[in-house]
Amino acid sequence: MDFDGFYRDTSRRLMRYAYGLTGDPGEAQDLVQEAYARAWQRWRRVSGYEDPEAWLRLVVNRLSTDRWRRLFVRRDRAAAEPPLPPVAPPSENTVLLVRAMRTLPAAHRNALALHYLLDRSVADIAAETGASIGTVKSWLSRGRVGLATALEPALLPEGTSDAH
Amino acid sequence: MPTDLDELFQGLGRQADAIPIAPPEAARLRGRQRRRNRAVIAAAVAVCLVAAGVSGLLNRPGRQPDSTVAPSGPGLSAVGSPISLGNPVTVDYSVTAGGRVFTLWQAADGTVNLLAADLRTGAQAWKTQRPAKPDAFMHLYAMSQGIALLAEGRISVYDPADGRLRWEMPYSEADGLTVQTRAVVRWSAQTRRIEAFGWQDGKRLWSLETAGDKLVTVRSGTEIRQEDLAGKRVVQVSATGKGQVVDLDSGTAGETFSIPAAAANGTITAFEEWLISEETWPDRSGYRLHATDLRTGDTRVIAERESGHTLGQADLCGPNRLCVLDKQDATTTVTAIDLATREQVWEVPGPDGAEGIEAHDGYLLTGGGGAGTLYDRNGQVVYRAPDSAVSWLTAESLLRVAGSGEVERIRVANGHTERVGTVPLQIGVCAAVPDRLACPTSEGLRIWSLSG
Repeated sequence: MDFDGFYRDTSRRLMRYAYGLTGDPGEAQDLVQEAYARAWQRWRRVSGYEDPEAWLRLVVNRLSTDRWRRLFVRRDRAAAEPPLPPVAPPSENTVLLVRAMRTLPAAHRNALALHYLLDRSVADIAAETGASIGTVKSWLSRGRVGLATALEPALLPEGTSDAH
Repeated sequence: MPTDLDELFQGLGRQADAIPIAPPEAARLRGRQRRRNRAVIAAAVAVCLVAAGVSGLLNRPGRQPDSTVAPSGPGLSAVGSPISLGNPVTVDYSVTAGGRVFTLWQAADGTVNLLAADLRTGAQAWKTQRPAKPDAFMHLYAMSQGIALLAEGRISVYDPADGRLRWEMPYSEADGLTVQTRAVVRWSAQTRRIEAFGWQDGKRLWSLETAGDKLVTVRSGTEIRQEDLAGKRVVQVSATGKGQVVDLDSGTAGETFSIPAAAANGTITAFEEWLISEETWPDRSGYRLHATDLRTGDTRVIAERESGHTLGQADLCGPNRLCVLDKQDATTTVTAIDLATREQVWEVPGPDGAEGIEAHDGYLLTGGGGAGTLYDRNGQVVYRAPDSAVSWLTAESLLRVAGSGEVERIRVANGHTERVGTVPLQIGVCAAVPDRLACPTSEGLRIWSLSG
């Protein structure tokens, strides 16, 4: 598997995931680039993994709330990379959802991002995280309740209706 | 209007799909750059991590009730009103110095914004803007004597009182820079000279020809905030293995001594009387750490790790004691070494995925990998955070500002955690002094009192 092809096939999905975890377009761009840079540094090994994309998500997940990482990355990014086009500001609903997501424990947030943004099934999430199916169901359930609590009354005055 | 989660996440997904993605070349370039810049970054981290000001110069509210402080939660009271930042996507730096917080960000069109606010009243003091290319490299040094902004190949020095641009000079990525109370000190890769420029007018105070290739600021190991790092001495280090201490007040150099030739991507740091240099090899991984006594020039090997290991970071964690974060894939180890005797004092497993360490008065905070852990002087865990949003507030306390907005103060001596309050959605790293917290948020720059 060649790195460029892998990058092209997977980077859009990884961006969705990173944005779901951080709610910050600039940070999501940075996380995605950082994850691929790390993959490139050990590409021989990563490309041999059964699911290299899951490895990337693990990297993004670990780095997503890490202020320490930012310090290591910022100077690299500035020195090395051409500027990316500006990003439109998020909608009001997105801001509210991001804010609500940030109130959740990391495991719940991760499960919700995988489920809603990448369309992963409960079984997929269990396989990826190493948790049991029951645990993943609990994460999703508690995550939804947490979101509903955080979003009310701004967006969900009559309770959460989950069609998923 | 009732809205279901599917709709909300679909909106979030659409927003994500509109985010530009760099080409794969950018990731490869970053990977290569990471290797090359590792030493530079490790040195810069010490400065960046302490993104706050100097407590001694802070205009404290004193014992009188402060009319600018409005209660907004248990122990966390809003100071002044939110200061508009113009809805930036993210804020790059917030640094405090001399009783003010200085916040730096870049707008989508590249415009660099630098804003100062008074920590006591919460009022905006001034704001200045200048054009730049989008995503330009920026760094900010804040002292009560001046504010130095690095952006687009120049150093711009502003008056912290009113934001007036005092003077500017060129700066390249290959140069070295440090600040101290009297001057901005630059090592020029082009002229190979170290020069000190006065904060007020940029007048050259002294200039020294060097044989070095790198400027290493000598840290005291007791710094908490950026301004505490104002260096008194630097070590100029050459690729051929020569070192020389330079006094920044006088611009005079000491005797030249020999050190192990610096590895191309190795870390070099200096604390008190010790220069710590990392030796690596082109044909295998692993590393060797050397400690050079800056008083005598005597160099000794203090640690060696075999293939598969990489140096995370090293920091002074007590008199003549160096703490080293070693990484082997995600597994980490923290080791305390007596620099005088070269003996290992203690060694404990570190948190998985830890990226860095910050020591103060013998206590050691590790961060990265989604966790923050505080160790005491014997390597015993005092406190564990569920994330790494923890930093030193004072010598006696840590502050945790979680991504969810939850703020906690942790007593270093026993790990006792006190909930202070909550802050809104953050769009950048907060800065704190003992009695104030300043955070760039979705509502603008907000300042809170930490004294209840």
